[in-house]
Amino acid sequence: MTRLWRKGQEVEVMVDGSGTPLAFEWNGRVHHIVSISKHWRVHDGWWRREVWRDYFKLEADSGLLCIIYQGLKGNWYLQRIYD
Amino acid sequence: MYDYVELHCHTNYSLLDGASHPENLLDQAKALGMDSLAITDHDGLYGVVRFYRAARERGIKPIIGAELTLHRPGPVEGLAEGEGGYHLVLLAKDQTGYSNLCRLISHAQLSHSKGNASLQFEALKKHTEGLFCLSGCRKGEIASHLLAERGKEALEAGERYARVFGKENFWIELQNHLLPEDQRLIAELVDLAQHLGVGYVATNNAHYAERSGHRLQDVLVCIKNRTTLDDSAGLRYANSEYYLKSAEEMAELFADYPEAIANTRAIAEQCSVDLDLTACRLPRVIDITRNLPDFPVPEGETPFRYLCKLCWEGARSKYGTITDAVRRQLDHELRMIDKVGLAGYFLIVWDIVRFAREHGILAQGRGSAANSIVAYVLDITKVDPLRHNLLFERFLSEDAHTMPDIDVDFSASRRDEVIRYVYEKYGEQYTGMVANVVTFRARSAVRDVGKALGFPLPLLDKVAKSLDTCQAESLKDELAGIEDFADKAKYLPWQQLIELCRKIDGFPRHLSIHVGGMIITGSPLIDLVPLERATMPGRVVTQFNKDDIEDLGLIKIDLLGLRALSLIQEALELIKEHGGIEPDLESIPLDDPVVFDMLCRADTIGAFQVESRAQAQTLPKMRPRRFEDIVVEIAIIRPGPIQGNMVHPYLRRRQGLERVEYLHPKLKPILEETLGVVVFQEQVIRIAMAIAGFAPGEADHLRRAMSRHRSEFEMEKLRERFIEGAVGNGVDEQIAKEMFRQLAGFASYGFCKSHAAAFAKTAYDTLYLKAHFPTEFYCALLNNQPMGFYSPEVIVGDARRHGVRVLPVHVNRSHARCILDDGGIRLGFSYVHGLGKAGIARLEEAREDGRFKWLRDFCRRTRLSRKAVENLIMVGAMDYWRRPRRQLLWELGKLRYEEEELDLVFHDDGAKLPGLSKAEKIGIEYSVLGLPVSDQVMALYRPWLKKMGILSSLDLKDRKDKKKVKVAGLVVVRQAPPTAKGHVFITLEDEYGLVNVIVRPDVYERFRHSLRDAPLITVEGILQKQGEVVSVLAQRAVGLTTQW
Repeated sequence: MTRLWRKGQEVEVMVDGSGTPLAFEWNGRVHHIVSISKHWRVHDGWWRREVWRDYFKLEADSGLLCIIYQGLKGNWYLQRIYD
Repeated sequence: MYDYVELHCHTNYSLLDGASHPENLLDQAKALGMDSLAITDHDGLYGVVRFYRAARERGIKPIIGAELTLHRPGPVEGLAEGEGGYHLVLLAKDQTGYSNLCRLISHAQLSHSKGNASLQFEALKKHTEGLFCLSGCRKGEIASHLLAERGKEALEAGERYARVFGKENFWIELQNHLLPEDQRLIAELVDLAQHLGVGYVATNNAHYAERSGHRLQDVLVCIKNRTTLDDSAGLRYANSEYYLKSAEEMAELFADYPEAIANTRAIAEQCSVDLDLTACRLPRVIDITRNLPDFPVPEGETPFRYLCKLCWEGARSKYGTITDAVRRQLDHELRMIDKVGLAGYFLIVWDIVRFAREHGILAQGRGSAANSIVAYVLDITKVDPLRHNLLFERFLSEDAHTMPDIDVDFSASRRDEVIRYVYEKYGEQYTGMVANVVTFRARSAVRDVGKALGFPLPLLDKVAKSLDTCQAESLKDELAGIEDFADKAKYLPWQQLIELCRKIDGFPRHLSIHVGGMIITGSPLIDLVPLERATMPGRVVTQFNKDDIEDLGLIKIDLLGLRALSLIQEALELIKEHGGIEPDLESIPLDDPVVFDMLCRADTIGAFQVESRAQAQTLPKMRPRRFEDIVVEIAIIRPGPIQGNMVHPYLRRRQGLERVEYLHPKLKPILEETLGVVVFQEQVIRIAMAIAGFAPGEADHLRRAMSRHRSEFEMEKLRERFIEGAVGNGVDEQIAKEMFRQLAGFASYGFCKSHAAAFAKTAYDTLYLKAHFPTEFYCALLNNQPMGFYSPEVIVGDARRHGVRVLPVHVNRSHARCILDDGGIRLGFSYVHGLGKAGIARLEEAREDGRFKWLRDFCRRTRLSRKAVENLIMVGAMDYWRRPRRQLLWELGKLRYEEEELDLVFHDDGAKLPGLSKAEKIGIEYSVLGLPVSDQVMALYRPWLKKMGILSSLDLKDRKDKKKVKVAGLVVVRQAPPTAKGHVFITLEDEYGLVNVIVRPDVYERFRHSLRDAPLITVEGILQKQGEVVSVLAQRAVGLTTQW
């Protein structure tokens, strides 16, 4: 089972120089990213409401397996957690 | 520093898939520091010549390639038959590779219906020499299998490609667009490459120069698939990563595979194709002497000896005795033709013209070929180059940069016979029509982009129809000026529409056939240019347009259809049929005063080339009295300069408003014929030769550089060369500089004299017929519509004013076309709306059994539709039964009559109905025939107009210059030439003639609604008289029946 938030839960993320996430804060603790298994990007909908999402599927040192994304305005969201 | 070359790049010549012009991509490549760039459009090389030219100009090495669609065996789920083929990228390493690319594309195109190119693997494997093969995008065969987790099939496919291309030429293509499956796919592809023992290479499958191009790309995909952005999620790319990326960006995406980046350089370095772009002065790849077909000559003759024989025979029959001048010129030209190996080319054209003549098809050469005495004595052209002081070097010179071009006009109605003859004589493999790339213009852009954005269709239609401009680029300004749309630009969708239309302006949309360009080649065409199907069934068209063909150094012959020749041909036939003495147009005197009197009073409606509004306004100032004057008139009065109120300096000098002077005495003999002003391109060449000592070919190169707006760099080089040469010839440096400046300044006006002379002859012929055989002339003119500047309604009015009677359609006398009858012109059935070709044929067939006796008899025998019979009644085709038209309609209504049914019952109930009023008659004639037979519409309003103090075109002739006048008429011409800076020119017609109205931009904006849409208008303004030229400068305008 996975937990999915349609709009995502906003999270604080630390990134490296190239914008790749290193760690994020969620549920009151910092999750350090151990590995990123996938990175993909969506850029669409510009004629109505522009959507830009940089997705990362990752594993954290907490054992959390999840997808986070960065939106058009630079904010980060947690979208999905794999149980 | 990373080294990356993009090897998979789509330009907008991928036709609705690719959102940047070749130049934009190259500019971006240059900005990114890329020294090479590939072009890989879908199933075509449409953009290759343009890309090649632009790349060379920018110092970038062009790599020629294409992305082919391969046939995918078996039905594919969710796709129609033939859809969803595999993609494969091919890059040409050398000339063999280029030829094979042409062959493969042609195979893919010709073996399927238009727009559905698909290549069989069997065909592919035969033509792999000289090509690099990249395995393609996600739609490539290998990637498709891997994405569907069919590893075995992927491996098999990879082995197949490696086998047919050779391992060193086959590359596994890796792409990373940050799509969810990309990283996995790349890893699997790399594994596969290693397993096969072939290399792998990174590409970005670029579809636009910069990221911002993705919006237009999305829209193009929608246009292509006839859908909207909202409904096309699966068709569009999921993000905007398909731009031309820098080496750094690519290296980061492929950080785990540095070899993939390095290999782009290795491949680029091995690709080197020279297209013979003459401006680049490269050795000819396509040798024209090799690529011309052998013209079959009588046994024991060489093409050149045979050509000489024909020429001397022709010269004797044209000139009678051969003078020294003729001999010298003919010798000179023949020597040159022999030297450049073009004897066969002349024989081909001679043969085509001969075919036409033998089959009674009027034919005559136009363009620069008319500079040649060889063309004249071979009967290809009609003007004597010696008599008109023409210049052979404009047509052909030894050191020319381009191949000569012979254009021949044929009677439009019979041109197809000529084209068929060429196909049959040289064979389909060696003959092709040149393409014309149709591009987006304002209206098509608004409609297509708007649909994709989801605008309602009726609204788009309204916007498109209210646009005057052709350029999508100026949509914003134009919309701002239209009341209904002025405030729209503040809304986002409209902003997007405007912005995207601006960007799509000039994008290629689809291919059509050039009006007449044919190429004939010696080696199979398929090796030289890619071919595809034309829309017209059975026709094949090259993927290159005429400029491309010229740049490639291939020989093209333009076989054009000219309606004016059809008109002349028909008029001559009518004269003969009706017992007149048919004039021999080849020997009529060229100094007939009647013709020049007509020109001086601008009595030129229906005449070739000299009838337009601009011509009509300048002719009375120009006052042509010699044939040469017509040549100049045609050369200088063209849309543009004159309408923009930039009166040509020649005209000022001709009217004595400016002194005739020369910058240098050496210019006098060259420019004397045009009063010291450069008018003709031939003069540019003569000046370059006489003043700066240019060789003929070099001088022609200068002429071309000036007229085609070549690069500034090239112009500067030519300028230095010119000034240096002139100074060397003893010309003062300052004067030499000024001369060059003037030459460059006139370049855009410059016109080919021989072309003008050829057209002047046709103009003269039409005027001659109009003057001496007006009935035949107008009859033929009405039968060859649409042609020229005016509509049939204006022609009929003009005929009437010249004393020619135009008779109504008559069920027992008319034919499909207009005929001479009863001393006038009997209108033909083809002018009656709703009859159609089939209806006319049925009517004429029924009449073979005897005249129609009565309405019932007519209906019974023709079984035409009720609507068609009504139309015939209404235009008076049954008037001769002497029943009012309304009565006939009533009686038609009572017939139990069904189309194609015979059962007829007819009772006479004795009803008597009134006849149609004059106004009703005229109204019906306009709507059913498109022209008035009874009278011009303004005659109806005349009493009321008189009362209102509104003048007629006749009244204006007696009014004084600069007086305020009111005039009304039917709008017959409305023009807004782009060069006229917003001025609009309107021609009004009334029962006495035409009135020219000039509308300034501010007045047009204020009265746009009436000026644009009302059929009948009243104009108030200032009368302007210059000699016999009368026009009205509008201040106000309203629809005729509206109050001020």
